[in-house]
Amino acid sequence: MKQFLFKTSLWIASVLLCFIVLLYPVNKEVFADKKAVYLENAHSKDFDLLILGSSRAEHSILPTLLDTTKNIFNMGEEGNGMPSNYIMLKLLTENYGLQIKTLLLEVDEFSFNGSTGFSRQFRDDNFYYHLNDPEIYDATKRYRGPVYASLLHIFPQAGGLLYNDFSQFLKAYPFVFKAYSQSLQDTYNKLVNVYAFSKGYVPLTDPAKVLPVQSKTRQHHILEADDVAYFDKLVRLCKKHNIKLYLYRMPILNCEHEDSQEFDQFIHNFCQQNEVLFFDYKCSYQNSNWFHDYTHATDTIARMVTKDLKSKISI
Amino acid sequence: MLFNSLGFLIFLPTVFLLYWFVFKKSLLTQNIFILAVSYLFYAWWDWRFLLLLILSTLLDYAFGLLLASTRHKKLYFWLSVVNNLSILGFFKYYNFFADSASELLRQMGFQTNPYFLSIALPVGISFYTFHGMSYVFDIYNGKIKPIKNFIHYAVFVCFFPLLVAGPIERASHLLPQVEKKRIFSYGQAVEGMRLMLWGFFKKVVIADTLAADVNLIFNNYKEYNGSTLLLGAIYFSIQIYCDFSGYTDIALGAAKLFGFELLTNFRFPYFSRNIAEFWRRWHISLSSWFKDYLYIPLGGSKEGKWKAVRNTFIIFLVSGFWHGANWTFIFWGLIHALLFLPLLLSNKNRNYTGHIVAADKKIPGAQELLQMLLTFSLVTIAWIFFRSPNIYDAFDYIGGIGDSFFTVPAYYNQLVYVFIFLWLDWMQRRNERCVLEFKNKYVRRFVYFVFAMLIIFHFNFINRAEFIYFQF
Repeated sequence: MKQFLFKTSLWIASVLLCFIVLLYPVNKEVFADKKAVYLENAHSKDFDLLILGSSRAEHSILPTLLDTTKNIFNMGEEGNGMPSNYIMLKLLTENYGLQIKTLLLEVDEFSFNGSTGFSRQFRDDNFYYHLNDPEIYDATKRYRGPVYASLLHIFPQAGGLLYNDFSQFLKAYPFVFKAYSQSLQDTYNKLVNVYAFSKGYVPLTDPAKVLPVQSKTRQHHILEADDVAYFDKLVRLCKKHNIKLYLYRMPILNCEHEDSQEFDQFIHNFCQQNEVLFFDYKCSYQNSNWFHDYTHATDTIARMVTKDLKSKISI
Repeated sequence: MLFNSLGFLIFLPTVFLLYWFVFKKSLLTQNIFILAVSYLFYAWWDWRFLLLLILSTLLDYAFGLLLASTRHKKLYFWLSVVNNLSILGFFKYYNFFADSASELLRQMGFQTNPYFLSIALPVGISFYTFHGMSYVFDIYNGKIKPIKNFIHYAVFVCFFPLLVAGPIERASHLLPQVEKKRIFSYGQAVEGMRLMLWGFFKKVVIADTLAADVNLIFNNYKEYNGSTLLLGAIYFSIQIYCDFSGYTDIALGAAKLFGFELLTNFRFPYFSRNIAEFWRRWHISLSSWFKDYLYIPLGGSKEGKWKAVRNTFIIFLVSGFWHGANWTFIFWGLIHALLFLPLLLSNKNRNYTGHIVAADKKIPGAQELLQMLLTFSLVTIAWIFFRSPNIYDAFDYIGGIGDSFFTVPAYYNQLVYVFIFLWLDWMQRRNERCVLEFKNKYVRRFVYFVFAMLIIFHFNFINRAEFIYFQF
């Protein structure tokens, strides 16, 4: 028994040690397709306009079309729910002390359905290196579990790996050596420049050839308490930092399939009480050639929406 | 609790240490501890269904005692069968029957408003019910005597490695081990660890990786060209095998750590040369269960050809239905029965009962290769029905394979996983697990190390994938 325990422990320890050694050089630059890299680089720049939201935000607003003289960035990311939106804003304003004049927040019935799988609710992959912040740590613990949160707290290098798939890791790993042999900062800056050029907007150019069959039953969307609480926190944060808030909703193909009564009522009341403008494009541009899939518009719609918003908001 | 979860990685070593250091004093303490942790393991998923598990265990235990002490054996035997099938029928098949009956009446012109149960299917119900039934059947047939100690019996039914997805154990095989004090064996424990490693590799690295593409292809099959649909079907064949046999290997390995030997469930089924051989190598514990407790009691093949045909259809259809309350599973069983039929009629169903293909060669002959490819293709077509949400979609999917077939398929990258796995499986076909038994100890250690690293790298900490067979 002692021999078995000793050998097994030794073997497991050596595997874990190798795992740590292998991952130690991995840092946020390795998984640099994330906007977290840009976030790191944004310390010294205040924002005239920040766009936050899910993939529907990321693929919908072209900062370069809004105003090239202002610092505008589209921080929308696939799967971003209300907790991610709030924490991102908190990180920029409170932790980095950046000034943000205007916030354009993409909201829809999907943003308040975090636990039902419509959105991933919390993009912890943007915050692996900020787990010292109690609020970020709490959110990670809440949405990913205590073991996962404490593991990442100790060893954030594992984060990128845990979130990404193995093939992505294999593709990214050579960057580790390349970065070390040349200059880590060069690689880092090169990747940051990609976002510096597009200002965070990612176009969807190809319309889906054949759209998947949409559910025959009407999808009923509820408002979840967790997401509403994070939305409230975000609004309070905007007030605290004098950030002008606008809300907008992107078009959805066959919009009548999505039953958003609860959300509509909630946003209507909120906007009335807080004098916030809400630009609703849910049922606009109903042309399937302009959609990538049922819930994501292509670049064609993104340009139309951006132009329309440009005439309605003050930056 | 899932095997591929952080919880289990903490649970298993804790239970192992307590079992061998604190509760090793007597057989009874060993079994009480095993039972307690097995209940904990099950309750982790949903504690309310633990009561159902305990009730089912108590009833079969009581029927076992009654069968030994009564003159009305037949009556109690059938009462036990009705009891087990009622539990299974209520929790697993009620909604299916209500829906099917309602649909039938609707087609006959009657409008009905059936009452559906809003209840989750208790995990592993088909497995533990079959454990209990095999115990009662064996007592009724005089193969074993009823066990007096309830704890021992409950360990046989609820032993945590096999509780939720088998293998379906036999009382005559497992009970003697439960009734004997276990002594730690270094060799057995090491073999258990190796088996678990191989099982995790199959589940976490192969099955879960392929699952992502399989889900995409099957859920949106109308979007894809024929070659992608074919690839999706092949991926699913490999996924379900790695998923289920991976689970079995982890279960077998974990059982070895506690001094138990469980039944083998898979013997390289995709290297079978015909469907009959496939069924001697796939989910062996279930096939042999149906053979012993259904096929043979019905007369087997000894009462003429037509009875053998009838019995074959019965066991394949029941086996399909056992997998789930959906017509797709029944249809899947029917396909296998139809594929089996020509072999039965031409008396070729007992071919290849001995060695595995190319047992004394490195590669198979041309004829063997063709036979294996044909068997694998037929099995894969049947899997499409198993995986599809309904029979119409399955036919649509198969029809779609013919459309623009000669185009480059999407998701072909994952073929690497398929080839690596098939190569490893082929290498160890003469002797299960020999892939982990390289003669050179440095090569062996390196292979273990690579497996372990790949498992960690593929371990999905965020969206843990359940094992396919949990739902059955």
